[in-house]
Amino acid sequence: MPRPESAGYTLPELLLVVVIAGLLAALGLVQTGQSLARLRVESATRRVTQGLEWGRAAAQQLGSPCALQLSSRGWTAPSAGTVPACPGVPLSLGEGMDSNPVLLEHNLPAAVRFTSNGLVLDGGTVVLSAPGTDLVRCVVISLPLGVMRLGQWQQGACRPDLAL
Amino acid sequence: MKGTHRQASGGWSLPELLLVLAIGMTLVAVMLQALLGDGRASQRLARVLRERIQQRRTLELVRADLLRAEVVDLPDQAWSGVASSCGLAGRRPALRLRTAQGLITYTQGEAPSPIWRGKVLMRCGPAYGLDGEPSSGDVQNRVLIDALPISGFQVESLGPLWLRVRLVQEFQEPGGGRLRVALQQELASGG
Repeated sequence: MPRPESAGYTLPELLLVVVIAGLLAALGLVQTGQSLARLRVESATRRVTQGLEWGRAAAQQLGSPCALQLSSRGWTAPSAGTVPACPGVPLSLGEGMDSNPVLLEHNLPAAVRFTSNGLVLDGGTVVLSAPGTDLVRCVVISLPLGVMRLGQWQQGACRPDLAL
Repeated sequence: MKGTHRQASGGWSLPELLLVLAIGMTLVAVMLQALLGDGRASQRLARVLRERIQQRRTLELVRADLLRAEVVDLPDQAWSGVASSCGLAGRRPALRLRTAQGLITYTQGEAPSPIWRGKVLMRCGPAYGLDGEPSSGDVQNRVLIDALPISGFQVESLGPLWLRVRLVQEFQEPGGGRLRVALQQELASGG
């Protein structure tokens, strides 16, 4: 039945529009939250690898060994050991998004040491996660060349991610 | 003829709208494909650069070990009399160097953990000290590089303490293709 031009929308029509708009907004919010959480994990993973390359380059430029420590705050001066800290620390993992830090677990020693010719004397596995995403990144660091491989932490092991 | 002219207030007909929509969607699809292709190419280039750095580091390490070597053994030569200090877990020896600090054995084969892709090249030999030189203490067996095909690390003797070394890596790409990165260098104990 044709509606007169001045009649406007009926209540069911308005309710339907509001419900659809609400569903779309909720979906968008959930997706955005997950994307942000993923971004936080990926960004922190990048900072972990950058820190290692930073330490290596610093030791080579200095011409003497130096060390870094990885903590929840990022790469910092080591609290243990006799090797001096590499210059340029601290390197935060958050890239300015420190209000929601990532969860960090690793088995690296208290001081990751770099030699003046660019070797890495300590290695291990770093696992990064964040609330709001299922993505759990891992970084395996192998000595003496400091080879880093990024993957996904699944079933208690770091497994390769083809997308990386 | 009069019926084919649209009046000013008539708007677009359904076929016209569908045509415009189809053209618009085709253009968007083409642009998206181009953007995705560009992203894949950038990712590919970044990987090649990253792995090439890793290959250079690996060959630099071999070169440094060769500089310290008194005797170089290749797999086709007699290996009897000197045993490797590490468990090889089925990996094949590819190069063995006898140095004052101890025996250094390079092996290639299956990876020791699932994070490594393909076959790996490992170095079994004296651990490095803070000065970046091998110490005479502990022996370590570590992965130097991964993603090798079978026999991805090849060593050929060109003379006494003079080697031609070739490293090949192969990566499976997300699109299904394979990326191959290779590096060959001649290494001599004289530099």
